[in-house]
Amino acid sequence: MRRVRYVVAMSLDGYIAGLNGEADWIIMDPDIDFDALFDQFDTLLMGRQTCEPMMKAGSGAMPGMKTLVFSRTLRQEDYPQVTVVAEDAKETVAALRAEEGKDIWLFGGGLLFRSLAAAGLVDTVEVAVIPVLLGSGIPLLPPPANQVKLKLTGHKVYKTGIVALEYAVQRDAGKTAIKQRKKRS
Amino acid sequence: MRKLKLQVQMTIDGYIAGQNGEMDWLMFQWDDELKHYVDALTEPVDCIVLGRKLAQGFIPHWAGVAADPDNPEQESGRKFTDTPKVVFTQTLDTSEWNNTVLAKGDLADEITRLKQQDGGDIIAYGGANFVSNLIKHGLIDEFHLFINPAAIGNGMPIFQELDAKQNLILVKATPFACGIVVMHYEPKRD
Repeated sequence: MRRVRYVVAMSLDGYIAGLNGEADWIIMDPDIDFDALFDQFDTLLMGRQTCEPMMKAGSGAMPGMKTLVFSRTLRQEDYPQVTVVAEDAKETVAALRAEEGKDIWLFGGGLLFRSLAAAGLVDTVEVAVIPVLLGSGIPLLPPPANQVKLKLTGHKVYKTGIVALEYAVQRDAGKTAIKQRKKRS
Repeated sequence: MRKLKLQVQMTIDGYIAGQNGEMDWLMFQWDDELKHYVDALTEPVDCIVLGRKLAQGFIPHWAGVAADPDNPEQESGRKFTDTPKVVFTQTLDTSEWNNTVLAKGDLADEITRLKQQDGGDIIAYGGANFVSNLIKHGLIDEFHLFINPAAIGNGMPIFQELDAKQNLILVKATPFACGIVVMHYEPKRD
């Protein structure tokens, strides 16, 4: 099965964007190979708040990438370059994950991560920790959230001071809960 | 001038405890390498600064550990107990602990005065309010953040008092076999 990977830049204090979506704190490191990164994926998942600023900036749909935007308010006809998913987000992602293909990039934001993680549909959390404290912003995992337990699987330090940390989401607790529910029923 | 180091356990999303102080995300099985890292960090320290709330738990706890030969952490207990401590408080009038003095003045003034004295390194371990204020006033010289493998979404932050962006310099990031990554930063002072 292909993986759903939450790959984001994060400030050291846990924010993936400024309060107004600012990304000016994200350092561009020439050693990060974005082509190689993008090549690992063929599908992007994003929430409305992540998608809208990208669309306004003129980007959004990326060549060779299927882009799904999860929103109950966006109208499909206004965003022909993406697929708007208004209902059954979890079922949609579960079905996509079961398909053949490259990995699926959970592009943000935190709310989409929270709901997909709660459904056991996120396989990795890969944060590029930028050496900056923002003090406020849009969190990696917004409250109220359940704890997401992780296992460190890799790390890389860049010359600019970015530290890329790779974690696998530990799903054992969720599996036990499902087993118990099955036993009871 | 003496350095003020911060050593805290943290989730990947920047919390040092759950909303109600929960520590269920903490890795307890430290490997030897990590223990050595902490020893090296602690060795030059001859002063611990604490907020009053943490002090009331921390000081008696480690005094008890220090006095218990059966406790595997006795050595740490001795170190914490024997190291002179400064407790920051607005409410206490006299120190109720050995080897401990109170600081009741302005936080930045008191810390600056401590740094100007002769001696080894100064270290802070918490709690959340006290550390938040140290960070807000730019008083930390070395951040040693022990990043535990969990995101909790809600909890006690230590960086939210900052009212402007603070750039840092990464000194070293060290991953340990137990799953903790220690991130060592210094503030970028322009």
